[in-house]
Amino acid sequence: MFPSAPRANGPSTGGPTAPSCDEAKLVQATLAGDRQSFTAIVQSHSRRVYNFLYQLTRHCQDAEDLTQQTFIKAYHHLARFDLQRPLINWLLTIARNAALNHFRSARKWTEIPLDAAGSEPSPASTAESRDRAANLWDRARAVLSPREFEVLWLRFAEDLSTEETAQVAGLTQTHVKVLVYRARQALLKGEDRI
Amino acid sequence: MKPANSDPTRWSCRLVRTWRSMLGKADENALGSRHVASCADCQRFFAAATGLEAALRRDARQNPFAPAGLDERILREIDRSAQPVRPRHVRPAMLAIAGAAAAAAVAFGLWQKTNSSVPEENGAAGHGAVVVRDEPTTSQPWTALKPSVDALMRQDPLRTEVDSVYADARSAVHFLALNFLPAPAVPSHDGKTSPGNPAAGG
Repeated sequence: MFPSAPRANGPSTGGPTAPSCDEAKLVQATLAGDRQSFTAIVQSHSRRVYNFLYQLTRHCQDAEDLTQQTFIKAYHHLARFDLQRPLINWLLTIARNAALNHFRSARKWTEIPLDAAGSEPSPASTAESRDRAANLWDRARAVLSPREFEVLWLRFAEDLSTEETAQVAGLTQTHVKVLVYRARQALLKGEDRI
Repeated sequence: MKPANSDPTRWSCRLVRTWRSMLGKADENALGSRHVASCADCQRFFAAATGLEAALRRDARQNPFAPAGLDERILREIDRSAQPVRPRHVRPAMLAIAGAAAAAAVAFGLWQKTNSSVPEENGAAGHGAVVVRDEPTTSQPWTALKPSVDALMRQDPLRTEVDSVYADARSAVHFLALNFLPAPAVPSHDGKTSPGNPAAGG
């Protein structure tokens, strides 16, 4: 079960989410030297970060390594964190950058499954996709481009607003809307494309 | 073959769907609501889109757990990466550079002092005369410029500089006082006081 943390505003409808007050206190306590506060932060967000990275890499060990990298970077650069923003958005931004650095290595690219790389699925993978199409995300991975998939994941699985998705993905809000629109259209007629 | 825009309803449906998707749910009621209310296709489309989003949210929760012990491993890696803050150590190279710079500064100061002492030694040249040294500086042996510890102890450059600045300041204040401040009253022979010549006052 994916432990999606409860959002202050419920399912987002486009506007940014208000940051948690407790979260800001935890960050400030960590900055003051309280190690337990950062432990609480890790326990709150590690699964979401891991799942996001697993969706990007489709590789358990890589996702775990990148999750560790993400939290190490977050720990060492916590002073740069904007307390006005939700912490998970910042962590996902770090995680995405870590994944991009991971992908930039040519050796790492070969570890990415074909369906995650957005290429045309083979007949065998098409049949496999049909078998597991019960989960929409598997279907989305087969149908969408990596960027569309990433944006769709941030928007609906992570339940980020359009603005937050744009910040994490490094895109404009208009671009995010276009990608979500295209992804939705593709999934609505996904049966034709699988 | 029918032209693409021969079906106005179809065109307006696409327009409304795209427009509302771009605006987001917050503005759904503002635009196209009348069209959607009267268009069964669009109602089905938006219902399907809403259902898709709900299914995406639902299926995202069916993803596998994070591996067991992930948090502990993360914290262990953070501990490993967190280096204790060490006091700043001055590198030997930096020490050598600093020492060389200090020696060069002292040598330059002594060389300047040697230069400035030449007019005093050459009394025949007189005040303000340009003294041309017979030997170039570079021909002077380095040992002559190299300061001894005793010399450095006797001639503290910083103290000398402070004394010079202090003397200059005193001269400037004295000059200002001499020219611009009223002189102390000088008693005249008839018992009255009159302003005196400040320059004469010392």
